[in-house]
Amino acid sequence: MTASTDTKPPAIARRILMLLAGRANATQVEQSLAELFQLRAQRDGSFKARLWYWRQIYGFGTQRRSLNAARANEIAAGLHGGGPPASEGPNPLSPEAWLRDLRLAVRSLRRQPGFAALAIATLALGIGANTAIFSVLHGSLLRPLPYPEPERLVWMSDWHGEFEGAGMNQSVPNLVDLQAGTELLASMAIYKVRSGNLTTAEQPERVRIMYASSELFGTLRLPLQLGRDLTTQDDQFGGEAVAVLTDEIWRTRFGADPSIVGQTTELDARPVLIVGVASPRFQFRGNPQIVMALQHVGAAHELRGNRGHFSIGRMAVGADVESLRDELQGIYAGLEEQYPEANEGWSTWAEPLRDYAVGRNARSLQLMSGAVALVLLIACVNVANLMLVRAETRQREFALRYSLGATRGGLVSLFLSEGLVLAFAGGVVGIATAYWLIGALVGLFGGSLARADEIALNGTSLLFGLTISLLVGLTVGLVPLFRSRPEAVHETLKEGTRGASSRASRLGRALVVVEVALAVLVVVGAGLLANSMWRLHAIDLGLVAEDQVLTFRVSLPLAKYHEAGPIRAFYSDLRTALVRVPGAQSAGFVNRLPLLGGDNMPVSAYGDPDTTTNFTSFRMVSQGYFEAAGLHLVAGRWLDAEDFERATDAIVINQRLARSLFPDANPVGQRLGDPMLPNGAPGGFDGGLEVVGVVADVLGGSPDRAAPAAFYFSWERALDLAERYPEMLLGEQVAMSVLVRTAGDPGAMAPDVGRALRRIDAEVPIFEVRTLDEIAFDRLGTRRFAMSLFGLFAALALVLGAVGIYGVMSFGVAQRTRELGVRMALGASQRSVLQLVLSEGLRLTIPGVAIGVLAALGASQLLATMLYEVSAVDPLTYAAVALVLGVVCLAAAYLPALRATRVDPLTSIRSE
Amino acid sequence: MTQAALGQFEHQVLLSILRRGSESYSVEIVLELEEHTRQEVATAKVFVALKRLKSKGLLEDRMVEPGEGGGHARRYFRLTDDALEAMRASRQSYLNLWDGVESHLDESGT
Repeated sequence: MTASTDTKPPAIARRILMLLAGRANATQVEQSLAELFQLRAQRDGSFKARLWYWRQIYGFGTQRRSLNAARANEIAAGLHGGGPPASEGPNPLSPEAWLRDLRLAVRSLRRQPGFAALAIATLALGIGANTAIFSVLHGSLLRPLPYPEPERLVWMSDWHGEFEGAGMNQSVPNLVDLQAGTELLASMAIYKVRSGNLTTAEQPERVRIMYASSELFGTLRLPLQLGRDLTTQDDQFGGEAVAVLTDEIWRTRFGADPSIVGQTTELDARPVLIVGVASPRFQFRGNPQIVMALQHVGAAHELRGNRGHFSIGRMAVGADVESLRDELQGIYAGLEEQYPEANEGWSTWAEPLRDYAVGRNARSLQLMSGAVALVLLIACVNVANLMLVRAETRQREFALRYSLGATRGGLVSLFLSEGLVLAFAGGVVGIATAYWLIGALVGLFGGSLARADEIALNGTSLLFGLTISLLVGLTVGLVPLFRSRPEAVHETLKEGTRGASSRASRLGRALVVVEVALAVLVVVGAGLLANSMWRLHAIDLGLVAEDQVLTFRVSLPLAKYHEAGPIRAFYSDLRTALVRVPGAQSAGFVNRLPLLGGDNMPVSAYGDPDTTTNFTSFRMVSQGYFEAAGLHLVAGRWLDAEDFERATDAIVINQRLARSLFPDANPVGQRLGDPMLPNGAPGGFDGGLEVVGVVADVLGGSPDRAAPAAFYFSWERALDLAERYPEMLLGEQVAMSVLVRTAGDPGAMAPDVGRALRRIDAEVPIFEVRTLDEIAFDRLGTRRFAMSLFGLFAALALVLGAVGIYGVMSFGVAQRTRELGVRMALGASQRSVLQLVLSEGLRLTIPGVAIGVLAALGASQLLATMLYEVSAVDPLTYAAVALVLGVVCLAAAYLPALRATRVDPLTSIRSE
Repeated sequence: MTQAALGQFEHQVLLSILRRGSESYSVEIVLELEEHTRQEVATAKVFVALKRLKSKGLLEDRMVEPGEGGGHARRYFRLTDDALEAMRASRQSYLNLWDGVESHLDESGT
């Protein structure tokens, strides 16, 4: 027979086959398959033949029972001449055999507690980290939204050519037109999420309110658990204020009282009728606690250019998001033509609601799971290596077992049992770790994780943890099979433990190289993220000493403060009281805190609409704000006392706005068209606004975007406008953010600040008390999450990699004790032995690092979107990582090397 | 004698052995089946069928030790008289069933 000797069936497959076929058939089956494999390899090439071989193995897997059953019939029928064939041994797959092997595995592992503990701890880390990340991923990303046919739900927002990506608010009149025009949406609801004060009880409470059109629950297909849904009647402007409670607030605040429906509560000191309680499954980004009727129908104040809403929709059966986008954008193109002043440059966008619910975490979570999977792989490689080393030292034992009648299948089953016992123990410890880790993750980063309340160690994640444990167990259990050649009984028994097999050590070395390479991959990722993070932290925010500023928000109940007079008095009193608080240096207030992005409006140079800069954030500021926030004046002057008292037309703009409006002129003294006047309103400021000063840019809410254009004007002016156009601006002026600057610890001032506020009006709640420093910190939320975890994984990867190198090196040294002893007896210096062993360590490290760096270069683009001002192939990071890995690996090799130099030549030679 | 009906695959295996001449071993049977059914054959199924046919008394086997040229021991299978009887019965039952409806093949076969 002409068989080419270089093509052999896959070794692992062959071993699995032996196991599946049972001892009686094994030889025949294996030889037949080998023969067929050769024929195929010659005819179709070795790759196809290998695939074929694996398919055949699968066939034996499915036919295993029949193969045994056929034998059973045969025996039962006595066709074989009575009695079982002499060679029949116990089936290695029988439950008894498994139990026996498991017991044996536990016993043999207990004899080497150090090895077992190390392997279990390693696997526990890998499995635990993976289970935890999977749970986060599952709760946050994978689990479908808890609504019927969730894939039909979409979230819609506007986008503008000048702004990257969609996600801008929409205006009610445009949405009403979209709603009328769409055929691909079966239903659609308009909403916005705001905060309000629940003022029923003695203590006012800040709540998140979702103002929604009556189609909300119908679109989600979520019937209420109590009471009635919102109706089109409720959509009418000026109607009775009605609310649906969420399950959460119904339980926490209203004691789950079913009779609450029909009762009245107070929101912002206005009576609100509670008509229903939503299903516990209702949840929405922004965590609204109360759903109120939007009352948008017939609301004359809803200007087309006034974007403050979003919308959700349920697609008609058979529609898809792409065609929906086309349809909506077609409708929007018509709206742009019809209402150019409000819609020019605008269009709209639809995306699956789930993507919106998940938010910006998706990418970083996917990267996390990639990184954590690498850590698991490293852990597996490590344990496989340990198993290999162990198998090496047990060659004699195996040979002995074999010669005493153990079957090959029996040995395979023993290996697998050991792997499974280790992995199962690792899995149990790992899942316990995961439980703790999930709590820690949600606690630390819950704010920047989507659907954080749904993240838990649940059945699915348990199943995940157990499944990877099983896979890990099979993998690490199978590795020693490469090494076990029980058929070489004689050699092994003759050789004793001396014969260091080059095959095993080559495999072990290859595994270490792989491990180092994987570690490089993870550490490079962590390094790049850390580098970005460092740059993000080092950015000039545009503020002075932001760690000395306490901020909080107050919101005046509209019922009591619906006129400019009382509002003015309240804030004036508050500012005076705050400046008197011990330690306070200055205090001021603003509609939106710095570093948080802002409310935008288009702004242009006076009489020159061509210069229009969309998305200019506006800040209505009080006296003292500039000092308290710590802005830098670049040119001109601050707003002065007169501007604050008399509502002058003076404004301060930032550098970015100055550059875009007046690129060639000194901005100070220039005029802007007044963006705050409603269309055609006979305002008192027809001459526009005068730029009196330019301040340095302050960063916005998005950590990697440049500072937005901004202008600052006196809050008094806004109040003044509100008095003229009450329907337009009131509401904005009642909820303000207050800043107090101190020389000392801003947190320590909080109680005094609270007392000062209560003395002025005890009904006004204070909320979101934070330092400006914390806000700067939180801006980086998602990234910090990604970086901290990547850092953790990198540390794990480094430790595991070091353990791997250490293991292989110290085993190598132990194996070569005799050789090293001879060398030293012949005059080799300790130094040269040290060098010898260390250079061996380097021979593992250098290819590992090289492969890892190459792999990281290839994979780096995956990280690109998470980086800030760092190239994904940043040479410095790569060099640093290579260096760190090199040092760690050498350190791991150093200990065994040191041990090698202490070998006593005499004892080592005598020991054999 | 009462004869258990042949399964389709069993029938095919027996036919393959018959086609090869007097005796054949597993590899030859697999190749024969693949050649004539033009499908990949799961070797495991062949082994199961061989076992079952042998336990039904339709096959006899003998081990052939490797010759001078090396190789390995092979188990050769040979049809028993019962096997020929069973195949004849199985073939006849197919023919009976097909009688009168073969024209359908031509109608739908294009």
